[in-house]
Amino acid sequence: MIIKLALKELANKWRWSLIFVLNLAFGFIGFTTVLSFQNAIEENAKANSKQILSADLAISARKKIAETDVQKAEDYLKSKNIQFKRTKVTEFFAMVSQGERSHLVLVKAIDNLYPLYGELALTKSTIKRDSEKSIFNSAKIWAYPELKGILNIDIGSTLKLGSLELTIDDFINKDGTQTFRLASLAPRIFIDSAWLEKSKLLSFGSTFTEAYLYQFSVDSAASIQKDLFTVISDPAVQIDTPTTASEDSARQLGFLTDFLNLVALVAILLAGLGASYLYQVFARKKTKDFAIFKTLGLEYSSILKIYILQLFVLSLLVCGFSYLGSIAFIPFLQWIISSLVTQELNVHIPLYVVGLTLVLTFIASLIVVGPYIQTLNRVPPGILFKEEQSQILNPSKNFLTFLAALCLMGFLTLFLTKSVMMTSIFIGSIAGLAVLFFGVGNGLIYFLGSLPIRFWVYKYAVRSLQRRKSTALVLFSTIGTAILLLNLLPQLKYSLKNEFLTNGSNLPSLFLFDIQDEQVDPLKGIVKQNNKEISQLSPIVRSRILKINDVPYERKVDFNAFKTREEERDARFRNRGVNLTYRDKLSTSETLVAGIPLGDYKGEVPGLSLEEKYAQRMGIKLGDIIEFDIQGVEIKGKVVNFRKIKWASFQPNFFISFAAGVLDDAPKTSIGIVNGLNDAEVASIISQVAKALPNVSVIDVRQLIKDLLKVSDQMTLSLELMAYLSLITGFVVLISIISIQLQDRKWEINLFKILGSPNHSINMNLLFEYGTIVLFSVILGISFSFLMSYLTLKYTFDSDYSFNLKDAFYIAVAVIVVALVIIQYMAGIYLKKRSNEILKDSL
Amino acid sequence: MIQVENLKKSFKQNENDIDILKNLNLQVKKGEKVGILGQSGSGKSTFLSLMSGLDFPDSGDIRINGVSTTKLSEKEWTQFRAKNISIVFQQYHLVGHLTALENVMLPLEILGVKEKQAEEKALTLLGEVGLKDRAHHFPYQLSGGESQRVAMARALITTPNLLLADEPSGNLDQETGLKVMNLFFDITTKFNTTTLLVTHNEQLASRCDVVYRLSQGRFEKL
Repeated sequence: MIIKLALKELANKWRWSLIFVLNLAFGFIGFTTVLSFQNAIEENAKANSKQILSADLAISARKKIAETDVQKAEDYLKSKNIQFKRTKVTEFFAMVSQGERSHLVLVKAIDNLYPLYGELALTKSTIKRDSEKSIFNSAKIWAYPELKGILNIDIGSTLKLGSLELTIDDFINKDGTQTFRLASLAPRIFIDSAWLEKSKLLSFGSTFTEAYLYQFSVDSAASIQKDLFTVISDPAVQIDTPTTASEDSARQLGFLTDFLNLVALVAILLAGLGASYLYQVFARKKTKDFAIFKTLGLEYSSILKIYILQLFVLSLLVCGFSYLGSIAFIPFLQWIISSLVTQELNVHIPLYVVGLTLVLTFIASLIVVGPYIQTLNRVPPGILFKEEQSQILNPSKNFLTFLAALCLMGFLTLFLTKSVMMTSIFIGSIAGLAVLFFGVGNGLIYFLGSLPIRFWVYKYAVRSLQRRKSTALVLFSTIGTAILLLNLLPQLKYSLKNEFLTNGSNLPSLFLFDIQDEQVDPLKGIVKQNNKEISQLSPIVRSRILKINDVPYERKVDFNAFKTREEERDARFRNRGVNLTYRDKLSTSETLVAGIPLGDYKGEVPGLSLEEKYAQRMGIKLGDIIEFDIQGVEIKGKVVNFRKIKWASFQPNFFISFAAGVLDDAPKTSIGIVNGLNDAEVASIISQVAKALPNVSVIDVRQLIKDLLKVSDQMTLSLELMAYLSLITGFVVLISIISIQLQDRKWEINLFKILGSPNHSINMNLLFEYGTIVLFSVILGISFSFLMSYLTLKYTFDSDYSFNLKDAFYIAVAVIVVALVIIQYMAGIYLKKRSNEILKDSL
Repeated sequence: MIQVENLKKSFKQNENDIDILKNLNLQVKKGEKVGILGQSGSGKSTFLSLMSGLDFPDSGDIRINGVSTTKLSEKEWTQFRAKNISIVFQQYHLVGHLTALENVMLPLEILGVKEKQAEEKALTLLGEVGLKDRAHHFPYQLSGGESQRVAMARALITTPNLLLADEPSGNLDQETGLKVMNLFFDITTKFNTTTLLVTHNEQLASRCDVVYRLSQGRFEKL
C-alpha cells in the first residue's frame, strides 16, 4: 500500500515531479560530466602508467645521481633475486638552430633499451624497446613536429645542437611518455646518449634531469619502491613507480578538473536551492494529506516510508535525467579538453558516478525534506488540516538545512579536490555569498517597500516581493550566483591578459639560464650588440638542505592512500633540491614582509632570506638555522627575513637567498633577463646565443606567455562552458519557481482580471516583480564577481586589476533579456487563459 | 436596469452540443435582489459567468444599464466590469499575501483611486462587515466566515451597479452561513445594490425580492 500511495501521488502531481527532477538533474549534469572526465583521465593514466614512466621503477634527480646510490639500489635488487633491465635517460634544455632560426628544446638523451615500455610512434616507424634505432651511433635525431614550423625544417634537415650538426631522422607523432600538452616550455628532441658528451652541452651547473629506468622480472614495484626509499637516503632523489607516475601525469590536469568540479558543485548548490524551495511548496500542499494519514491511523514510520520512497524515486529520475544530460554535454567538453590532451580519452559515465549521483541526490533531498517531516510529526493533525496555516517551518530550521547542505558540500569538495585549502576557500565563499545575497536581498526588499510607489501595478509587485520574501531571496541568490560565476572568469582572464600582454613592456623579453661564469662576458657582448643589457644577473648555486635547527632533513614518504593535495605538494616540495642565490638587496619583484634586510644583519651565521610561502610550507620560522650541502661543502645560514615575490613578473626569483659575499666562491651558474626587445631583436639574440653559447637556454618570454594564455584560454573555455551550465541551471530554477508560483497564483491573476485590471497591467506587475529580482541579482552578481576577481588577482597572482566592463555589460544585458523573455512567456501562459477557464479549474 | 434576452449557451461534450441555457429571458430593476435556484449542473454558474463577462453567450443579449454587453470586446468588458459589476465567490478568493484591508482596497486601486481614499473607504466597509479590528490580518489568519465578509467588503467597495453572488455561504457552516447572509442582505439593502444571488438553498433564495428556478436551460419564476 505504501508503494502504491507514494507512486500514485508522484504520478498525480507529475508536473511538479517533472519540474523538481529537471531542476536537480540540470544541477547534476556538470558534476556527472566532470567526474566522468576525471575518471577517463585517471583511467587513461593508469592504463598507460608503464608507458608514461617507460619503466617499472625510475630513480631520478634534477642533478647527477651518485654512482653509489645507483649501486646501492642495484645491490638491493640483486639481494632480492630480482632480475632487471636498466636504461638511462638524461633530459636537459638547450638551444637548437637552423640557419637564422633558433629555439629552446628539451633534449632527451636515450640509450638502446629505451623505451622499456610503450613506444614512440614516428612517421615512418614505431620504436619499441628492442627496435633497431636509426639515431644510434649516428648524428641523427627524432624531433617533435612543432619544430617543423618553428625552425622551418623537415626530415633530412640539419640542426645545430652545441657543437654537433644533427640530421632530422624522423618526427614523433606520439610519445607514450607525454599525456598532456599543458604549455610545455620546449618541444622534445631525442638523441643517442653517446652523443651527449660530444655535444659538450652539459657542463657543471647545467639544469638537467638524470633518470635510471628499470624493468623487473617481478611485479612488485610498490614494495621495491618502499624499500629503496630506505636504501637511498638523499631526499633529492625521486623514486617513482608507474602508479606514482600516472598520478603525477593525471595531476597535470588536476587543477583544471578541480575548478570544473567547483563550478559543477555551484550548479548543484543552485539546483539544491531551487529544489528546496519547490519541495517546500509541494510539502505545504501535502500537509493535509499527512494529517489525513495520521487521523486514519497510519503510523509515523509508515508515513516516513512514503516520503522516503518518493524521494528515492525522484532521486532515481534525477540520476537518469542527469545521465542523459551528461551524454549530450560530454562531447562539448571533450572537444575543448582534447586540445590539452595528447592521448585520446575514452570518456564514458562510469557506474560509480551514476551511483554517487544517486546517493548524493538522495542525501541532498533528505537534507531538504528531513526537518520538514520531523516538524510535521510534532504538529497535531488539527493544525495540519488548515492548509493555509501550515507555514510550520521556522527560519531556524531553514538555517539548519543550509548548514547541513554546506557540510555535505564541504565533504564533497574535499573528496573531489583533495585540497583542504580549496575546500575551505570554496565553502567559505559559499557561506559568505549566502550571507551577502540574503543580507543584501533582504535590505533591497526592505528599501523597495519603503518607497512611496503610487501606481498599484508596481506597489503590488513590491508587496508580493515583501510577502513572498523566501521565494524572492532564493531566486535572487540563484541568479546572482550564476552571474557571479559567469562574469568571474572573463574578469580574471581580462586582467591577466592585460597584465601580461598590454602591460607586456614591464615583463622581460628574454629569460636566460644555465650561464656559466666564463660565458657571462660573451653573453653580455651579444646583448650589447643589440644596444641592450642583461639585467638582474643572478647567481644560482645548487644545493640540498642537510639540517634545519640541527635536525637532519629527511625525505618525507607517506604511503597512506588518501593524501590531501597540500600534503602531496609539501612532500614534493620537500623532496627536491634547492637553488640558492645571493643578493645584497631585494629585486623589484620582491617585498620584505617580516624580519630585517640582509644588509642590516650582523650575526656570525650568514643571513638567509626566504620566500614567505616556501617558509610556511617547510615550517621554517625567523631565526631558524638551515644547513646546506653545496657540492660537498656544508654552509649554515640563519633565517633573518621573509620576502613576498611577485612571480608573475617573470624575473629571476628564488626561494632562498643568502647575503652577498657568502657564496661568492661556490660553484654556480647564472640567470638573467633582457628587457625591451622587439620581435626582430628577440630572434636575433636567440640565434646568436644558440650559435655562440648553445648550452645557454633562452626563453622568449612573450612567446611563452602567448602559449600559456592559449592553454589558459582552452581551460577557461571549459570552465566557461561549466559556468554556462550553472547559468542554465539558474534559469531552470527561475523557470521552475515562476512556473510553480504562477500556478499557485493563477487565481490571484484571475482576480486582478475580474476586478477590472487590463492584461497589460497584470503583465507589467509580474514583469516588474520578477524583473526586479533578476535586475538586482545581476547587478549584485556582477559586483561580487568584480570583487572576487579583484581579491583573487591580488592575493593569488599579486597582479594589477583591470575592469572588463564590456563583457560584464554584455553578460548582464544577455541574462536580463533572456530572463525577461522567460518571465514574459510564463506570464503569457496564464494571462492568455480566460477567467472562466481558471474559474472552472478551481472549482 | 438588467435585461436578458434570448440568452443561449451550449458546450461541446464528446462531439455533442449540450444546451446549458436555452432562450433565457430576465428583467431586473435597480436595487432588486434576485434569487436563482437550481440543481448542480443546471447552468447557474454559467449564467453568472455570462452576466459578468467571464464567458460569452452563443446568442442573445445582456443589457446592463442600457449597455449591450454582448457587443463588448474582452478589453471593454474588463473596463465595464471594473466600474459596474462585482462578484462574491463561494471560495472567497482573497489574495493570500495581502492583508484584509489590502484585499478590500485592491479594486479601487486598480481603478486608479488614491491610496488614502481607498484605505478610508476600505476601513469603513470593513467596519460595516464587523472586521475593522482584523484589517491587518492575512487571509490565513481569518476564519471562513471572516474571509467571506472580507470578500463581500471587497465586492462592495466600488459601489457596483450589479452584485453577482455565487453560493456565498456554500463553504460555511449553517450558523456562520446564516450570520454572513444576514450581513449580506443588510448591506446590499443599505447600499441599494442590484443583486443576483445564485444558490441551491431555497430558504436563502426566499429572502430575495424575486426568485427564479433555472431548470432545463430556462427560468421559471417561483
